[in-house]
Amino acid sequence: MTAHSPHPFDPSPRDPLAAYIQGDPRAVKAVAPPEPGPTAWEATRLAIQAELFATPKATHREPLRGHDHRRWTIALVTVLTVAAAGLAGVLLYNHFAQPVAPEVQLAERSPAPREIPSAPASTQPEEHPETTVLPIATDDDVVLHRVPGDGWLPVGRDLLPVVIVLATPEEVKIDETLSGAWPHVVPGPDAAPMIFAAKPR
Amino acid sequence: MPPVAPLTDEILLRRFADGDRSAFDELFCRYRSMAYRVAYRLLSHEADALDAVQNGFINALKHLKRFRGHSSFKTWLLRVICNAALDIGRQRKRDERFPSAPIRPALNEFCSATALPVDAGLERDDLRRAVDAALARLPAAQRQTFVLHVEGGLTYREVAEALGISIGTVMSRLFYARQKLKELLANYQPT
Repeated sequence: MTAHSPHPFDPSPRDPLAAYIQGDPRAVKAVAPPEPGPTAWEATRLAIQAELFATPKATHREPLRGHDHRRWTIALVTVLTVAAAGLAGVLLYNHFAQPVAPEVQLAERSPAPREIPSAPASTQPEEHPETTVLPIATDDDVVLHRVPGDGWLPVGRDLLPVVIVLATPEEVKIDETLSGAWPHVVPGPDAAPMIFAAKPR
Repeated sequence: MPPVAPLTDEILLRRFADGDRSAFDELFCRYRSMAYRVAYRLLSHEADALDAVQNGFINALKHLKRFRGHSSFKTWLLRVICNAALDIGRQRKRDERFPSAPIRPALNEFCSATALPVDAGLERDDLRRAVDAALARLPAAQRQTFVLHVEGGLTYREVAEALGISIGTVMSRLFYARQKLKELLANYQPT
């Protein structure tokens, strides 16, 4: 395939590469790849056209001869008739042949049937086609930007998803400390207990 | 006599759906160059790019029912062209791993891991080769995003629609792609 590039190089951008990187249309045009020639384009167009407008191929089948066709028709009708007759017979039998059970007087009533609890609902989430495969991000899909403040970004699930209930002073009992190792415990503001760590000596 | 306005893509697509071959010819003429540039920048190979254009047009117009009209036909077509180019690229890599035919020489003539070597007095072909080589060094996702925006002329929103990503991701990929390209092309000075 021969290349065909008609337009002249436009020297106006002083730095065409930098201009191209920024998307300058003149620079993009200046460094555009050579287009295929008319022959290559025409061949491509015809190939696409042939694929898009192709007539569906007729299935190659030898036409049935006259008597074969009649024989198949007769066989088909016979099978259908027999099937219909069989179905009608089964329906009639079911309708007329069922015995009527006589009424039986029971001396005792059987206990009420035990209620069977329904099976627990599945804990598995309903699968939807669009969620059966979880797409995993690649390196290129993940971009971490600087987080304002201390610059740390917590990643992962919350270890304590529930609300933490703080104990009140009445609920906290301090056992006998070891030679003053534990400092004096005082309730802080709002009666929240605060334990101060001992200063190392 | 005032010039006749060109037919819109919607009208051409409707005519094409009705079997009008001239509608296809018009669409092909309208988008073939842009499709080729995008495919070429993704594959850096003329014959493969032409194959991608062919496959892309066939897939886009054969499966027109999937094009629901939320985006423009151009965006839809370029998306399909990108996928066709990726398929050809993967097939080429498989062929290079298990070659049954002679391997075509790659366009990337620079093997060092650092920036491309200095070469004064670049002509137009050299510029093109430099751009091709630099684009080939970008990660696939960044290259795709950059090429669709710069070569395909798609806006950020259109690129996001074509690739099925957010606008933020488009901007981020373009930022890193431009940084990398500046790095790779830093030593080149045009005459």
